[in-house]
Amino acid sequence: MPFQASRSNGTLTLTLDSPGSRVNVLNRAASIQLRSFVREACPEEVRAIVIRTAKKNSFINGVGLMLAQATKKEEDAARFTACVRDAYQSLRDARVPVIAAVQGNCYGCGVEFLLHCKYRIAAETEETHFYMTELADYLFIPLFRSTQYLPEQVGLANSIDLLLWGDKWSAAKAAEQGLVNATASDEGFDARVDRFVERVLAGDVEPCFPRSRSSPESIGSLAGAAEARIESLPSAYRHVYEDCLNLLVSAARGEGGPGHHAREMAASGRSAASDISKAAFGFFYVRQIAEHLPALGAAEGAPVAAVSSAAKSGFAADLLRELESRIVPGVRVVSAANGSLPSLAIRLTDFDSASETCFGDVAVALQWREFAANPPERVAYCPLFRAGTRFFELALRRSGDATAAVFAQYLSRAGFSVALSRPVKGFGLNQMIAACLRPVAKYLLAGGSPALAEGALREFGFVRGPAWLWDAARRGGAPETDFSPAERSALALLRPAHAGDDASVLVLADAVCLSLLACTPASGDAAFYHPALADLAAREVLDFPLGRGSLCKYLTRREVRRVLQRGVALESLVAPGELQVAENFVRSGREFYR
Amino acid sequence: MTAQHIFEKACAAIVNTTLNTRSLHESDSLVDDLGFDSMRMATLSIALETEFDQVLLLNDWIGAVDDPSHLTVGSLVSYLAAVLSDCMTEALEAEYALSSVAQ
Repeated sequence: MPFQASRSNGTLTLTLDSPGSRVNVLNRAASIQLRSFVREACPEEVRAIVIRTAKKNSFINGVGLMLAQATKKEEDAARFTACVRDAYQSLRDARVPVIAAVQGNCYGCGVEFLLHCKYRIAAETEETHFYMTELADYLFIPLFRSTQYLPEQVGLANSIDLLLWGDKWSAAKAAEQGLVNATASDEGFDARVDRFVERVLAGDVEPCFPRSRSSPESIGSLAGAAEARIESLPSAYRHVYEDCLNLLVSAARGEGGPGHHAREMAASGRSAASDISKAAFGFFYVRQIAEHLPALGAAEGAPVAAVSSAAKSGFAADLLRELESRIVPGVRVVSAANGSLPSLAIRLTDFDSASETCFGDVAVALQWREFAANPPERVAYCPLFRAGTRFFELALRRSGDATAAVFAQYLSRAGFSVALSRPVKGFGLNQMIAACLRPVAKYLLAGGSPALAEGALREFGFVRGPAWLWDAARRGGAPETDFSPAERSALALLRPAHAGDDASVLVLADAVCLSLLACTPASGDAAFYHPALADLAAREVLDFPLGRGSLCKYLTRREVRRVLQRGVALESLVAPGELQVAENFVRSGREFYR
Repeated sequence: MTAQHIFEKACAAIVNTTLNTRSLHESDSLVDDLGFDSMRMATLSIALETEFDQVLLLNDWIGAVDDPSHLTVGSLVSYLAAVLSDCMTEALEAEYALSSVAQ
């Protein structure tokens, strides 16, 4: 069963451990079990209920994306989720205090679960963070009352940041903003939870609800700012964001009430049934495949116990400093290699000093670099690190690299996104960034308008836009070998602009996609050797549109054939080699996904 | 590939994903009877790729049903049969295209 129950000193502890899964999912079976436990808990026998996880990396990662995927019309949302809603409501109606002790990811419905628990404590680990996935990852409105309870419990400004803009909160930030009452270090977490329970029972802890935080004046100004930002989104996305904002504002104004949840469910059902949301759901599977690939073909190994570097400056030292701030239970981060390191340690070295790299090391490059002629065994490459991107291309010389597998797993636990590659002619990310920006540069060099170029790509769904990407690449040190002086001057003219659908530049989005096809397994030279790896990189680094699913899902042979029919307008923006890849793909390639 | 062959490969992937040792039937619901959630569906995708040498995302299959309870072993086999038939057609077209270029 998903929940294991235990009693001690009048406290009923319900520990969630989704069977056969590496993360917890509050599915139907778990919901039924939870509701039963909570409803039966009477004050004569139980002083408090504590909800915990048996998986330290995951408190609750979701309720069941399949429910949202199967939603075809507005009323489906209510029909599919009745059981889970009952379980959530039982937490709210419990006759004894309900305390959530959060360790690990608290995503989407997990945050909503929390909003129904009166008291909350969170572990201070990197994996313990709070993230509303619904809109940010799947373009649909959540349906377990977050649009009502978030404004009531953490205020409208925070609700907008969490729900609309996909902010991820650490445990410390959650405590600062009142989403949890307290935090505790992971070491000795059990004892700290016990003490927290005693404080709750002694009346020393304020419940997380009810609270009201937003003044009428601030509501108006926050709503206005959010509306302006929504205007910059692709037109296909705007209505779902507007619906969600309206729900949040209504709750912040105290107009929640019983009707709010019905409105939230209806809006959720409508949005989950939309084409853009259906496309976005597909990316969930793509991401899971990409994240599983490092483990495939690698020998089963123990998790890494320590990460170290002897470097005092340079990329390896920079990364180590960042890793030191990200607490991952069971992994030590040490700033100098010494004799006391465990055998399962990974040593970071600087990519620029590759000659010093040993067989078991990971070379690190956090700025734009060319792939060396005699490259290190494995390279952790993040050219947009300075722009805040935390996506690593883990470039390998051979498959089945067990060290790379455990390092990828560690980076993922530390909050980074990772995709493997096997470079043939260069790093996959260099190829991708250049493939995205070169058609834009060609368009501008031919006299095209920077505002129209930015608007066209945003309207297609690149929400961050090419101006951001060029700025990030430039700050990452993109060299003249990849972008000529003329291209650099042209790209420098780009500025953030609202999405626009001027028909004269729609060919630009097609040209960018066609150019990117050469960075996928459709080309023999592509570093990302599996479509899911190319998709993950395109999403994380280029911000490839969620509403299109993923790069390789979008680029079907039929779609590529359509784009090729644009003729001269397209050919002026795409390199001949890239056109050749597209023509071969249409003629004799096979679809990336089924 | 025969329907029986697809069924056997699909079952092998499901067993690999769930470590379920009981025999599977076409009417078994992956959600209600075998405890599948979205995360395990993703794992099944990976297991199916190993069996069929084709990336199968499954989200079209999942999105096609009226209720997740209807995601049965039988419906998965039917979906795979249709997909693999498309693959076969595509491979023949590609072979023809390449031979035309060679000539």
